[in-house]
Amino acid sequence: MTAMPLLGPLAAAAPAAAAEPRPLVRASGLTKRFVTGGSWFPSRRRVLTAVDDVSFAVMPGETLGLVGESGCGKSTLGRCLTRLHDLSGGRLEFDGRDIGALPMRRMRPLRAELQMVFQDPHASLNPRRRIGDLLAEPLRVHRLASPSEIEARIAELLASVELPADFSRRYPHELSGGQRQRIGIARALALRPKLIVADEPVSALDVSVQAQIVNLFCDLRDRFNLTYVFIAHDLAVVRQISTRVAVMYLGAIVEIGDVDAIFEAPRHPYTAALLDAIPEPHLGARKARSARLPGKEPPSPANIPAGCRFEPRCARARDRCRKERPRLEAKDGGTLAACHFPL
Amino acid sequence: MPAEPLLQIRDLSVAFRTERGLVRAVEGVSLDVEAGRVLGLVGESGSGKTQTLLSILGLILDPNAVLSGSVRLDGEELVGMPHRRLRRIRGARAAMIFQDPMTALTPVHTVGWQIVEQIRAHSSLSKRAARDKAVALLAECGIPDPARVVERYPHELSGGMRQRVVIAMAVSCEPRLIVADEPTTALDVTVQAQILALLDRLRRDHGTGIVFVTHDLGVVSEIADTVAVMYAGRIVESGPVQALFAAPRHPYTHGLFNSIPPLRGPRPARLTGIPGLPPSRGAPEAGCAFAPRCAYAFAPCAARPPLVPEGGSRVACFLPRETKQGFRRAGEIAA
Repeated sequence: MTAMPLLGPLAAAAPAAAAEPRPLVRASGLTKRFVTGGSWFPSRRRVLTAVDDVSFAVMPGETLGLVGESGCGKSTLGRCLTRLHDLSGGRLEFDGRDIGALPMRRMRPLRAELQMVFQDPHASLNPRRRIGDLLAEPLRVHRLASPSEIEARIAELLASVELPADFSRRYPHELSGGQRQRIGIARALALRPKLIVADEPVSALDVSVQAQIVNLFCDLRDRFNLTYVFIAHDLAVVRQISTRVAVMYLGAIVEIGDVDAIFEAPRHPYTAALLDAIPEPHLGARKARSARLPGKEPPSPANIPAGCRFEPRCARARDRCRKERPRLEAKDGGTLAACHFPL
Repeated sequence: MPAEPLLQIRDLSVAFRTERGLVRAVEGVSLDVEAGRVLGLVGESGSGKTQTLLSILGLILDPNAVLSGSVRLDGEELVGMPHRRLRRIRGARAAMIFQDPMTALTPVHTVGWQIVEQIRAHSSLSKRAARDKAVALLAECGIPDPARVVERYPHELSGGMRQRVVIAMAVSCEPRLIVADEPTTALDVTVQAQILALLDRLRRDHGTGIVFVTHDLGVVSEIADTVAVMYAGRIVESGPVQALFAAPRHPYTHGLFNSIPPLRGPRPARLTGIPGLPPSRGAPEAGCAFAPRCAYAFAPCAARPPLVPEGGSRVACFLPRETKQGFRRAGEIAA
């Protein structure tokens, strides 16, 4: 195998192409707010903006890596994309259809096309049912296979995630973490989706098993023409699998661009600090650090700064950053960054 | 008498009696930690790294555990030491940091109260002096506004702040040894970098020896001086970090490096990784535990390979020297 299949979709998604293909997902001004507390004392009610006015597009065949620290809103954004959360504002288009405000009943048939894989497959597999039943369930619900076809389809699904057919007789507790995640992926594949949103799908696995699952994600993408939104806090994994990367901070995308541009020449100080903080085993030595963040706590999403949201932790912050919120715009180097004074 | 290292573990074995027979969680582990040095103990789930760590402080309390071997701290044997005496060592001369800081913190008292209790259990400081010391410790651990944080309850603090509080507690009695079980695994990378810098400062300023258990080879390269890689209850390779990272000699260590995607340089089309699954039931009775997953396994692997010196490290593998020298770190092109 060469590197070409990995890089192929990237070239196809270059914005300069004359006949620009239609994005599979287009989010504009996507916002999700939660109201917390105040069930007894309404005065204590607080509004928490988990996803704040986020706009981006995902082209067919692309893998968009969504990275950021805990609480940055990356999982909430993933759940908004699959409409597991209702949106508080903004538009969401999937395959040309506006799905941002579809009622659940009309959303249902679309669910086959946009599936989700979760971090903990143990929590999403019913322990009392055999693997075969768990894989048959989505097929029955969406009437995608007649009873006579189901068995063959299950064997096919197990084969596509590299598990033997006799696994259909087993129960989830008999499987290892990696095998359970394979079942989680097979379940998402069952409905032949166009988009898979994977939320930290490898972070609970041992490194040797993690590599197998990352490879599997890449193989399946090429085989079934899948588009991924891949959410992870592990930047090395995201770099391996993604064609584009979006970096989130306090509910907003602060930088988005081509995977190589983001990793080699980040323009936003937060992206740089994040990359700087990762220990690298392949260096074989202590990493020289330049952009270490001050020990300050990140502000909470209930209290987002009025200016640049990264300003309180940013070494480059100036007066303008406190007053004026930077917009996500093109910087030379190929990425879009929300920063007045990019690197 | 020749100088003995701060911590000396010799031939440590931990087994558990279960309904399905004896499970060998740790088998024949020998390790040394010098004062002011950091040992990184690496392994995947079920490799026995946590059981090794717990047995250092006599924290394996399961009545079905069978423990043998020797653990000496400053020349004093800890295996078989009565609990009453162990309690005086724990917290004072050797402290532990867990992955989840809430393991070590009670939710019903302020963090100040908890640090003061810890200090007063092992010293004769007055309440007021202990409290001043708690504030100073929190400041040293990089907590902003420590005088206010001592009044807080653990639930009011973030994960990174809680872990700093636990570290402040661990160092409060100036222990000679800190054993840390995945202390940064649950934290964000930016916070992890701060905690690692903090531990590094502690060992430099106070000469504390640290045993740092992790599954993350990147963290090891950041903080450790020496590293021991465990697989199925045994050490398969150990040595100085630079030597071992520059040229891993054991196929398992090599496989671990190949499982981690590089952060710079060309991206491999596929990660080489390691086929199969880590064993879940401890060390096998005979043979090399890694052989079933090893691409290089050959006839001699049916016997158990001893851990022997080779190229600055120690390796438990029968493969010829030349084969092992051919192992390269993934992403090396980048360097």
